[in-house]
Amino acid sequence: MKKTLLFSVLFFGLFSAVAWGAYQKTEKDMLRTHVENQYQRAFHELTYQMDLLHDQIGSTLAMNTGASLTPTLTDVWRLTSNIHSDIGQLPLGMLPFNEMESFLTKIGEFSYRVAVRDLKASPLSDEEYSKLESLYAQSAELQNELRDIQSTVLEEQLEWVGVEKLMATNDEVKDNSLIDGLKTVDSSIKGYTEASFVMSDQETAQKRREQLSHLKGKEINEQEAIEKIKEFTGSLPANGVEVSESLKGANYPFYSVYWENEQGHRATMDVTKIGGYPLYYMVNRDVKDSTISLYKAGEKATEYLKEKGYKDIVLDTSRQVDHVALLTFVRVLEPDQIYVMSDSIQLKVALDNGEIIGFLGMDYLQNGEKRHTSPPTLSEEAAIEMVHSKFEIQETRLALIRNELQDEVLCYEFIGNLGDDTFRIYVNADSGQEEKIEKL
Amino acid sequence: MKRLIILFSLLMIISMTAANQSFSFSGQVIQRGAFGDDVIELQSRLQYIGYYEGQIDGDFGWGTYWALRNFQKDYGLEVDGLAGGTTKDKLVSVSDYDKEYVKSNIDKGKKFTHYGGVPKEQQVSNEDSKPTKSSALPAGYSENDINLMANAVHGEARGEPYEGQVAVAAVILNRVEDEAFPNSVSGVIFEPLAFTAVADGQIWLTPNETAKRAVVDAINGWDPSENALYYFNPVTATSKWIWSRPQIKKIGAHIFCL
Repeated sequence: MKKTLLFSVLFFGLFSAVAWGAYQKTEKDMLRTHVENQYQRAFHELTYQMDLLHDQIGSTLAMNTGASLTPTLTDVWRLTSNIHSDIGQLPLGMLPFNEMESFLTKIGEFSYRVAVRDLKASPLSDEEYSKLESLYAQSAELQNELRDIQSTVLEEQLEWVGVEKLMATNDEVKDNSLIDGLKTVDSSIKGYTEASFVMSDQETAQKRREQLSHLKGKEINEQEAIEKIKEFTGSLPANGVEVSESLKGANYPFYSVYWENEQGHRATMDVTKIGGYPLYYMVNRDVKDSTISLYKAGEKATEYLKEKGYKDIVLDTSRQVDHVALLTFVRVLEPDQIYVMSDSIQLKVALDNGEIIGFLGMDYLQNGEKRHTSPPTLSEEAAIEMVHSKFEIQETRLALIRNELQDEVLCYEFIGNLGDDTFRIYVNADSGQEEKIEKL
Repeated sequence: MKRLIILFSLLMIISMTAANQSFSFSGQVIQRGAFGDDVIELQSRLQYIGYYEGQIDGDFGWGTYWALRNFQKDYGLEVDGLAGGTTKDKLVSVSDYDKEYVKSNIDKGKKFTHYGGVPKEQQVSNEDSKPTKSSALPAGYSENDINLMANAVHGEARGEPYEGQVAVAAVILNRVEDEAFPNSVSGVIFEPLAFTAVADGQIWLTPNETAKRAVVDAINGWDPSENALYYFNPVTATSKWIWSRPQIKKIGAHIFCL
């Protein structure tokens, strides 16, 4: 009797363990299949869209008239962005697939640039036509390579979940046809990008700005960096200052300095090695209440920057975020009073005691090359004609901005209302084109 | 006796000037971008005399700015869009402000107006208004974007020094800008295998205030990583590839690279 009871308890225990295990297994398999299907969808979608992209580039070649070229080129642009998002859903992790993505972005930018242009007035140039031709050939090869991988995936029933596991644990993956295939695609694209997209003047200028190579000055050492920072922030203690130099791969060499200020808050600041220009300054402090106004903070910040030698800037916008004032200053070019929106400095002022708790000089440094501006050729009245008749203009000034195509253009800036909303409209001060519209 | 009269008249003068002052406003100049009780009063008073039609939310935006300028223009004041001493005095003398009424309605989250001459009962509707934001957000970002990024930063770098957390948030934003990565914050964060905290679920821990502050700093442009696109922990990183990237700087336990 006792034995039977013992056996039935044991049997019941074993049975429930097995049942539980089986349930867990089905559950896990279901999830795995679900994830796998998501990956498969993204991958097959990617190859399909690549087909479409190739076809659409082909259609643009066959077309001659501007009117029908615009929708086709816009479609090319749309497809590149679709492929981009498909790639973003695949578990590629550390697998270098960057060339593919930047190639797509370049095709997208090129087609967008041409599509938005008035193609009746300025049709495709020979150079652009031959660029399209080579893109057509290159996309054909990409398409074939991807199709090959796709058929291997289908034949051998390769699983993306398996790839994900491999990628997550070890990056020296060998003999996985999926990964090898994608690597091949990426390396063949590298050649295409170099062949088809020679860097334009703007892009090289952009590169130069990113590397801050236009900055002048003598190279400073650690001690001089600390002196600079002491002078800039006024809150450097005698002890406990940590300095570190940037590592070898930095675009521009700099010093990073960390310290604890008098109130015990951690502060950090970076300055360039060349000339000791301040890049950013930041104090980690939670500001709990406000005793001074945003207006007062603006006055304090203006005075502070004047003191530090920033003479050609004015306060442009101020915003209160909880108990901190966030102030944006922009450069003004004399004598035409042109506001250079990209040359900005940001300051953070604590509203409890007026302390400067943040400085951001990167944009000011990066874009701060000398500019040759000529006064506008279009009159203000003529520019006003260009905006919507229902738009009520309240404020006007001249501004230098970067448009959609990253060109720097001189514009009339109009701030005003349309209905209940406030908009900022930039009208090109030479061509009269509406360059940018922002809802405020 | 004479002394008493002088003292008395002095007191009178003081109390009269005090009555003329805008005693409910604080003494500060209010300008566009400000946030708080002074702005609530400014909006209420401008609405009372029919210049402001928007929501009374304590956020000095463009709507309030134009209302204030129109008021200044009509009353022959200097049109500068700043609520300074003269403007506030004028405003106080021509409008009424029922602090209790306005405040209680904001707290209740009811839609209401504060037009003078309209009976109080008709100023409140039973509709709920949108919850008022705690403070102004950086342009182009919603509260939810910030929360999502704060989740990622907290999951990835909660033990790091503050600038290390800002740097992680900046890396997310640098990727959004870069052509080789997805073009949205969510796309970058949820890219498979991009962040370990996403892969192991640590992203769903509740972020603290520091992580949020770090995200807002990064969105406002601060980038201690100096334009990095990747970072890794040299102690735990297994990938050879990541070591081949050009390294920019080390913050806390992370090396930031291009």
